[in-house]
Amino acid sequence: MSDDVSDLVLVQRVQAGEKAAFNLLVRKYQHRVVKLVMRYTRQPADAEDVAQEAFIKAYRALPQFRGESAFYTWLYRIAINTAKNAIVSRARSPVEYDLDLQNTEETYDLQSRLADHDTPEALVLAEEIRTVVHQALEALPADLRTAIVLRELDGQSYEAIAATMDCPVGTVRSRIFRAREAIDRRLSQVFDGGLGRVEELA
Amino acid sequence: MNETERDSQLSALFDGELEADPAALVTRRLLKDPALRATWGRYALIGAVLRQEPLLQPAGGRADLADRVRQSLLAEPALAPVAQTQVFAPQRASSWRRALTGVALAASVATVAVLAMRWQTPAATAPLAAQPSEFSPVVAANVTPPQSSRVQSEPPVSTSVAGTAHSYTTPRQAQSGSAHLAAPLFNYVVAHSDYASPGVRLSSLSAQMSGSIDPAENTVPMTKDEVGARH
Repeated sequence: MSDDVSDLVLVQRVQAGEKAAFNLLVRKYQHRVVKLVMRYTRQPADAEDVAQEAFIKAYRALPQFRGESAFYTWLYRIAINTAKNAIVSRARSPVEYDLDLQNTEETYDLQSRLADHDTPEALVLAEEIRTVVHQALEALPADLRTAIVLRELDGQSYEAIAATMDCPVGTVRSRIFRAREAIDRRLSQVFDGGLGRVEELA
Repeated sequence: MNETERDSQLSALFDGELEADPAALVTRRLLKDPALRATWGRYALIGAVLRQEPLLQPAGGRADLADRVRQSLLAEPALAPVAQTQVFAPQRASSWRRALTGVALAASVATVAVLAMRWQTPAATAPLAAQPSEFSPVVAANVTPPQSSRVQSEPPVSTSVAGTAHSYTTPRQAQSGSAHLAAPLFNYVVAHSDYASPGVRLSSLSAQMSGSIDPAENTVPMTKDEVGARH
């Protein structure tokens, strides 16, 4: 099983006219899409603008999405095309744009680039979030830490993790949940009205 | 269901590791419960930190990305409800419908082909050859393959013999009455063979091939528009 099932459930809700379900997809994938788009735009503010445009295009195109590929695969293609179009648009503009397509696959120091865009307060909050998450991760029992890392970093399915850790799938599910719960407990104390806040969905 | 079990299911849903029925149930709760949605957002944030993705947040007086998308979509109309069976219909059901349609289509074409072959007797050829200008455009129009729904609104490419468009389905000039009639039919069958079962396709083509006509002699390259319309 993969992200397909939950994503398709949300996609079906959006296709049935429930916009709020799309916001959950945006919240789930926004970080990944911005990181992807930054390979092309390099500027954080531009990356967010392109990502926003990509999500809106995806929403408008959802009636044509038939689940023949994973939602993220489909979204990925839209984001890449939107980023490429943005590059073309900027190339036509008189403003010089720093673009080096030779290095689009390299990993950038995203934080240093974000520093150009974010306010000092936002940067402090982001740094605090990172610190708390990593501290909480280090404090986890080894089996929980391994499970959440295999899932979030390696993107492995529960079944694959179960094979790796030589335990039942149900145990993997429990370990990942307990890991998230422990990290989330620490994270919830960090911010009030910041990231992950309770937002009013449309 | 207690809160822990509910959150456990939310975690599994986030990973796409919940079966379809419980996934639908938890999704309904998720959409109704602001606290669950906030947890969903933090789960995404935890993953973003671990993967060293940029953390998106309100900055410089502007809302975060998800909020900006949500605000942009406020002006968008909600998507019209679609039948889920159409959207995520199993491929097998679709194949059955397509196969039946193909069989029916191929059978019709084969019948027409047999009738056409009978018309091509020496007695019948003379009148046909004597009136090519009246017959040809009608045949050409009838053998124009149906286009996909995507291109139905586009103006059709003329396949008239008198037209200038080059086509696999229409000969440049009628060499004789029989070739003129059979080649378009043959090409029509070929063009639609994707929709027919192998047996029907073979029999239809055999019926055409049993004549002395070499359709390759009466064909010209297909235009780009025609290729696009068929594939």
